[in-house]
Amino acid sequence: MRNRVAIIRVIFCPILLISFQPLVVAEEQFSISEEDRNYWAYRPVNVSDQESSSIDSIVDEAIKANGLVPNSSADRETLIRRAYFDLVGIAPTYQEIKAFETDPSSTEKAFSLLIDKLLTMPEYGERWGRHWLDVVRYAQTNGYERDDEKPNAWRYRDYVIEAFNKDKPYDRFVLEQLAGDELILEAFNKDKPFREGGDEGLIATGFYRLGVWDDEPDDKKVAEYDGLDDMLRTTTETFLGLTTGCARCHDHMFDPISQKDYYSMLAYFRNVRNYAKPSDKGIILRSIDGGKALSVSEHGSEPPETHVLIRGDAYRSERKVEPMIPEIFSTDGPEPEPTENSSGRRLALAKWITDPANPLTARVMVNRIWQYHFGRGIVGTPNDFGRAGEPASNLELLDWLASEFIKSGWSIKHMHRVVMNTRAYKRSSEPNVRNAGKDPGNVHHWRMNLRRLEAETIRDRILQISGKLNPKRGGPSFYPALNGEVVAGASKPGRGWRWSNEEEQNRRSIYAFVKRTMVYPFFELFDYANTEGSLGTRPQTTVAPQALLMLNSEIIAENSRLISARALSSEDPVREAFRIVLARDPDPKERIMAESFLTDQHEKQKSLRGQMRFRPDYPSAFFKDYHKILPSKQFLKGPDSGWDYFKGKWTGGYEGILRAEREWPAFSLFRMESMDFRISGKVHLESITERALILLRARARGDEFDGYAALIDANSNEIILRRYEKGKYETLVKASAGDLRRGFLDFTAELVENRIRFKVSGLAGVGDVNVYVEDEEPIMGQGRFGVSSWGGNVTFDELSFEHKGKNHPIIQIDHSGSELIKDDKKIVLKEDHQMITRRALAEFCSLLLNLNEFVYVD
Amino acid sequence: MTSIIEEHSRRDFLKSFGTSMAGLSLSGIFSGNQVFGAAPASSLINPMAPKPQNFAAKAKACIFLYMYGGPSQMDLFDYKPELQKNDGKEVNMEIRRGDLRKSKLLASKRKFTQHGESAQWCSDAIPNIAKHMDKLAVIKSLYMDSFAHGSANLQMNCGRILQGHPSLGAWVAHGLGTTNPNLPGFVVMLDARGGPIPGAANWASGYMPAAYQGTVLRSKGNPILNLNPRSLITHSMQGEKINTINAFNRMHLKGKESYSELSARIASYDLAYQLHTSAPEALDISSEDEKTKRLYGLHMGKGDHNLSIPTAHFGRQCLIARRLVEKGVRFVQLYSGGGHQQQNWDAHNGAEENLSIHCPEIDVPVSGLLEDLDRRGMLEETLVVWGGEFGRQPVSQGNNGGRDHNPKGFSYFLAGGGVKSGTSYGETDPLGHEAAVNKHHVRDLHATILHLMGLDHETLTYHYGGLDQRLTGVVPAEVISGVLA
Repeated sequence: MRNRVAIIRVIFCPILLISFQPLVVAEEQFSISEEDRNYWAYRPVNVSDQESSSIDSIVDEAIKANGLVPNSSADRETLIRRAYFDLVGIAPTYQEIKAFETDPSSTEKAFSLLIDKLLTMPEYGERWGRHWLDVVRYAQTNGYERDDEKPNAWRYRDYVIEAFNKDKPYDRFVLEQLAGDELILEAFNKDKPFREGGDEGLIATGFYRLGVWDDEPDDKKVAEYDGLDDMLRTTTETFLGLTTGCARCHDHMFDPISQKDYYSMLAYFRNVRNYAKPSDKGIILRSIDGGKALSVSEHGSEPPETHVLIRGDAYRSERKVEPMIPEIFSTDGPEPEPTENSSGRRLALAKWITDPANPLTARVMVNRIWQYHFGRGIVGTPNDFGRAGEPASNLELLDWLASEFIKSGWSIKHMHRVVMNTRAYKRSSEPNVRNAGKDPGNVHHWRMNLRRLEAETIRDRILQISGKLNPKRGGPSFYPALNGEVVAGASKPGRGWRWSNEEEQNRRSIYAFVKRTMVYPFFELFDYANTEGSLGTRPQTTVAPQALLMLNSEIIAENSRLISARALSSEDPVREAFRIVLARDPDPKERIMAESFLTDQHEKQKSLRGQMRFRPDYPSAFFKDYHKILPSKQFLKGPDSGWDYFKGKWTGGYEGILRAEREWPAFSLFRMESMDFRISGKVHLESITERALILLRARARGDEFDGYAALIDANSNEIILRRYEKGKYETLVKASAGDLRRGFLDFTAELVENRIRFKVSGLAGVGDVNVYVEDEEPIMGQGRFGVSSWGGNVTFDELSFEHKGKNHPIIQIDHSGSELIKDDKKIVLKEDHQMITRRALAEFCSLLLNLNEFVYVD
Repeated sequence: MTSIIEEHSRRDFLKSFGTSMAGLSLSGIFSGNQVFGAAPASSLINPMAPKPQNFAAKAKACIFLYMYGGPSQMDLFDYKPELQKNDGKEVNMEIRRGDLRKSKLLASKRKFTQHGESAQWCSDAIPNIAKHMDKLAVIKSLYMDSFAHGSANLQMNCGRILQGHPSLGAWVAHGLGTTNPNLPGFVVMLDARGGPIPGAANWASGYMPAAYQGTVLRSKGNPILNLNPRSLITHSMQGEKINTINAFNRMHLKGKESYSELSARIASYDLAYQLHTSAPEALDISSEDEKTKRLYGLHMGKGDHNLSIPTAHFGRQCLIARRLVEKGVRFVQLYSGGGHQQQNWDAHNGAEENLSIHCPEIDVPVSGLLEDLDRRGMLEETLVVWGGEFGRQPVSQGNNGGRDHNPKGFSYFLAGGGVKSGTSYGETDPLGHEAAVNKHHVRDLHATILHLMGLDHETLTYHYGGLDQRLTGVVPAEVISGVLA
């Protein structure tokens, strides 16, 4: 806390104080002490020793001074993995690692060339652009009730990626985001060509529009100040490592930022045109070449007045203030130059921020760069260089970097080279007991930190090694597939979400749509950014739901299958799986473990080979638009070839919300037609499954069906025969059956003309249960066999179709799916002889994806 | 025959797959970075480790029954004779912030009577809850800051009308951790008609780690996301796989023991395996006797209205909430009402119609929960909270006797651990529009809930944005001492 005379004072902060009692507070006079002025972050960057010192000389000195022993350099394999992770976020292949290891040139030279190569890859911008998006609270929706989309927010994302890729000087990058629109006006006024394509400047100002925005604020005036507060806080935290939010209601508790400073800063943004309702969306959009961009514009050259608000209350104005930087920096602020359309205020602020003499800007950015290379910044709180943050662990180092950054013309790529080519960066991450007692947290960089991959990096790598990664760059976002239970949390489940085709879904994570109220669970579970405010450091948690996701999710199952298919084509699939997933060969012990796992899996898979599982994956309610675009296969998940999927019956429509009908759940029909049926096999209902349906002579009618159904109802413990026709059903017969959730049950369902028989056996404590009926108003003609379930999974085993005295097992359908019965005569169901091997290997590949080695980088 | 339902109990699993694995990993997770030395400052090893209360308090867990949409106080607990007398009379009333509109008073169609020794008022809309008035402390004088659902739900759950702050459950998880590592510390169960506005933001962890956010547990269907394998493997094959994963991981750990996050990750796989059993177990109510099930209304179907759902739905959730609390879950939030308007307690299009949809859905379940907790002696250690994001207006809206939003005065009830039972606290004005006597902002309700769980709302902080943030914000909040035992 700031060192001040103790004063009775009640502290308020950046929340809305709509109704509270006036409180007696002894106001104090804000003053800046000598100590404040001497605080390191407000002192100029010290550049005295730039030539004679280096990162390594400074770091080594600290290591020595603290009695630590530095680690030696990591081996080449580790270095190339580290560099790939740091710069491009994807993994080097086995071959790339081998080539690097055997490169005849010195490690220094080879590594330096590797860095140069990685910096030219477009994946670099995708990797570092993502870091920046964290800092600027990037999301593509507004939050709150409707959580509507921010139009074209993706252009800002592309602008950022591009800026990193072309190494846009950081000062320019800052100028454009804060005042790109005014830069254009300035260039125009001075008859100078705008340095970059003018559109970039407009797109960059989308920066201001990325925050949460309530389209139905309780109080419009308060909401206006909330919007300004978001702009101010994000600006100062992002570019200056300065927290200002607390000064909205009172002088900053820790830092020399007064409430007057806050409102003087706020005045820089006061002229930005704001919008109060969704229909005013035009205000935040500006025309650019080929479309519209999310951006800002101003009211004109004359901004409205800005006043200090007493305790942040929008309705209690105090004295008027002019745009001014906080007093601690100077009492002589930048002078705005208004143009016809703009106050010039933001440009003035941006120029002050990017002035090389600004003590914070370069320090803050090099600290971010350092953090993303080492896992921890020199200042551990990159958004807060104030007293409430962590102090710089090595100010000399920070200043050396800041000064180098400015000297390089604010080149971020230059800083990567400078940092990565040091001994400090190349150290191994091995622990050292001799140092553990003195510097367990590795503040002094005696080793590299072990780092866990971020959510995006884990996902991107999985797609990369399965061969599915779609390298398409830029443009509108894709929508990752969401499970039903995720969508269920929304008040209009699925509203605002869309369906992307498989190719789109395999794009890099940075291109995924970011919806504030529905974050993709893969990202969220692995500590993806909180998008509501600027984020300097992601938290890193280790919790069981992450393990569940890596063990059980569809993305893992699907990609493991693809990886195993790649590995299987090699002569040594185990070795190949290691090479694909971990980019190395297994050692003998690992090979034994792998073989033993595979043998065991292989054995057990044998008994599962006949199984087929159907899993309903939809919430009980869906928003109509999403229901419409979501493919039928997403409602009920089951085997691919040979089966067609249908959504079942949905009713209601109140407020656009459709509800699933228990009697007509999503179903699947086997691609085979016949008039008469005899289907037998085993069926299992998991504990949450209420009911399984076996459809006979079924014909799809839209997303419903007509035909017969044999029901196994685990709620009422009955087996039932029903006729479904034209949206109605009639129960023909039923029988009580005891507990139907006890393991696999044998069943036979038979339909000959109008005679239907359904038998279930294998029930605990009960004999066979049989129902038989002759339907007096039969549905005749050809139909298909199908399945459905309500509540949970239904698993079938040894399914068999009996026709004219011959049994035809439905084991695994040949992928062509074309050789199925067409006319009662021909049934060809090819068994996939490699199926068990493939499945076992897929399990092994999935196992490899779960290893610590896969999600951590040394 | 191999089946996918081979039931290995947790103990069987540990026995058959090696207790040494469990031993190692559990020591890793429970002692966090103490075992193997300090971890990097940014990593959070086991954020859910149990933490002591700030001071001794009775309630160890909280069940928050959230009536999404905003239930009508003057039709349930807040009896207003003046309103009843002046039905149809025209008044000027603030319907949206600063927007005074001429509207007609709408008396409650419900009959109010006094109940129990405490003689608290309750309407006939919820006759079963009415039997428990002696257990409840009804706060009738709450107010909050927003007339709109989006920001109001956020404030009721997260303390602010701005999005981005952690929810009450997340704060409790942060403050107390969980005593049962096999289950999430903060569980949310939703209405069958959909979630609330604005979705997951209501149980978010905001600027705190995602580990504190609410886990949506489905009372039907797959209880937890990714709980079961997508590929066709048996439970024992899954065990085998986890066993092998951790065997590889332990080899990888050699020489790196001081990186405690690696051990924590090994442990997280054991816990994941245990969740396979523990989550369905918590949800499996088949072991409950018939009497208990009836107590919660599990035998009860749906009402006549086409938007209503069976009583059994909320009943099942209430019963599961009790089971979860029994198993050590800290915070359970159940949503009654989902989607929009009449699908929840948002009675714009008819207050009477709305009550007829939703009261029967919760009356027996809530009553059953209170009774069941009480007879098991669990009410002593469990805090039950009932209420929505705001209340409703005493004036009529639309042609069907609807009631609009009202954040200026509404009711909540508390029951259980540390609560002064049989209490009616505070008053709204004679018409029921605005909190008038002993009025309290919802931040005071939050402070009170934390207090009842042994947490001090002033010291329970999380540093973010240059400030030690707290649920109640920096406007001074006070514990509502009038409802404390």
